[in-house]
Amino acid sequence: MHTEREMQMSTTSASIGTAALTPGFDRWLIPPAALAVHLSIGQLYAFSVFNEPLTRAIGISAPAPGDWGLTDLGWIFSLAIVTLGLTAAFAGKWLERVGPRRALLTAAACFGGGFVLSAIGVHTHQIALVYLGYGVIGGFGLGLGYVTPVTVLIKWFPDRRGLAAGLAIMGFGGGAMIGAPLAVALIGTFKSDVSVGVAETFLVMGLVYALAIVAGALAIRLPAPGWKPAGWTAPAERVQHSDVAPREALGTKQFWLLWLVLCLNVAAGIGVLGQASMLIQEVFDRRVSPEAAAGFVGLLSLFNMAGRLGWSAVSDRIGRRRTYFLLLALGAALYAFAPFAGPIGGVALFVGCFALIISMFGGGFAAYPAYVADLFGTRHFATLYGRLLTAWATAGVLGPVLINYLREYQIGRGVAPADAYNVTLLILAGVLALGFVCNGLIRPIGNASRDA
Amino acid sequence: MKQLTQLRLKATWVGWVGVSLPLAWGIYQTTLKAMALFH
Repeated sequence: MHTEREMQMSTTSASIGTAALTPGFDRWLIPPAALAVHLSIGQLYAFSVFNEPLTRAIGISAPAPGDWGLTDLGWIFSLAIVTLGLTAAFAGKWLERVGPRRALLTAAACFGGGFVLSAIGVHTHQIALVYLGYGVIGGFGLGLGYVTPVTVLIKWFPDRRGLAAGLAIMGFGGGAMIGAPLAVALIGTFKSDVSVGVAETFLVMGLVYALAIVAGALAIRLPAPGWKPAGWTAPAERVQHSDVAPREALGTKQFWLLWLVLCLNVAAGIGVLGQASMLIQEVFDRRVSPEAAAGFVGLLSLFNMAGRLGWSAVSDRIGRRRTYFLLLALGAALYAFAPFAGPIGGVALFVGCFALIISMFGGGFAAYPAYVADLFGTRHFATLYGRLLTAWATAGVLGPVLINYLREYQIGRGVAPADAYNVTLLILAGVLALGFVCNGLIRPIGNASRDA
Repeated sequence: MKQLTQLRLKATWVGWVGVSLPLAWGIYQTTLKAMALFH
């Protein structure tokens, strides 16, 4: 017979999805639930597939007067990224209060609903509706969908935080691999003499993704407070540190150093990722065809994903700080070597170099949640991780601006396009070296000498 | 209780298969695209 308190706990458990009173629950259901969400919202990085057909939404076969330009369309993705970042930064407290299930159901409604509103915007040719739909409402769903599963995984897998969070974040990369060909296939199915097929594609994808996120939301739940895997004891250094409250964390140097580590690692990688096709064509003086360059981009995506899983798993074995030392030092060395890779070993060595660099870019993302949890605990993880993700948003703007500005400056000074990236790559090596120094200055909170 | 646990284990398997299939498809599509680099 349940006492009144147990009934209250059961109600609370049902509403916020805790496993306090559900013995026999298999925590290995959480990673696929998290992946269902991240594979859906990862579609964000494949959004550019819609840009070209949207430039002829009126003209159908070619752009016509009144059709949107690429500059107008570029704002959709930018708005989504900014809203994602702001949501992740400020919704943490709300997420901790309402629990992961409600947060993810909200994410499903927003991400799916954003697609639907955007479909209306495309159909009625009102770009403001697309901005509001995918950019803002969808962006809100993206932010909730990004942080929530990672928060839950960190709590269920204290014994392998890196791998657990890395699985979800790998899913975000994988989401683009699904989203791009899916969009191309749907556009091909729906296009006609009177439609470029995008509005219909938005409707289908909105429904599919909303259902996938709902499936993840229903399977996800939090462990009971203080839960730990059977037979596992927390390492001594983790037992000493209590959870750090957000206000206190903001006053620590560790918070800001961690922010810089993410910002610098992402800035170095994201600029290259965005320019990869042009980079390989220009460095090899157009001897690499556009099709091969697209293949290069595809290869980088695969290594990005592999790096997210691989490096986060490595961090469970050797520790976060050592992992970041490796990522940042090796990354800096590879960037410094990259200008010579082509002349020494041709396309193969150049490609190998960048494949490794991008694997470390992904690894830096994926091992990050575990690093945050190791330093600040898990109680306020959603809030703190969300706030630290502003580094990602900042780098998302700074990285491409840096790369493009440096390239144009070089070409403006008469440097051949094939050589214009050399100085840029050396500067990126310096950016990662700075990240290396920042990582070196991070110490566990309240303990000056231990290595994390 | 045993039936519930077995049901949950089945749900775990279904979950893993459910996410692995679209992910494998996406990786396959991307690998096909990446092959253009070697031709």
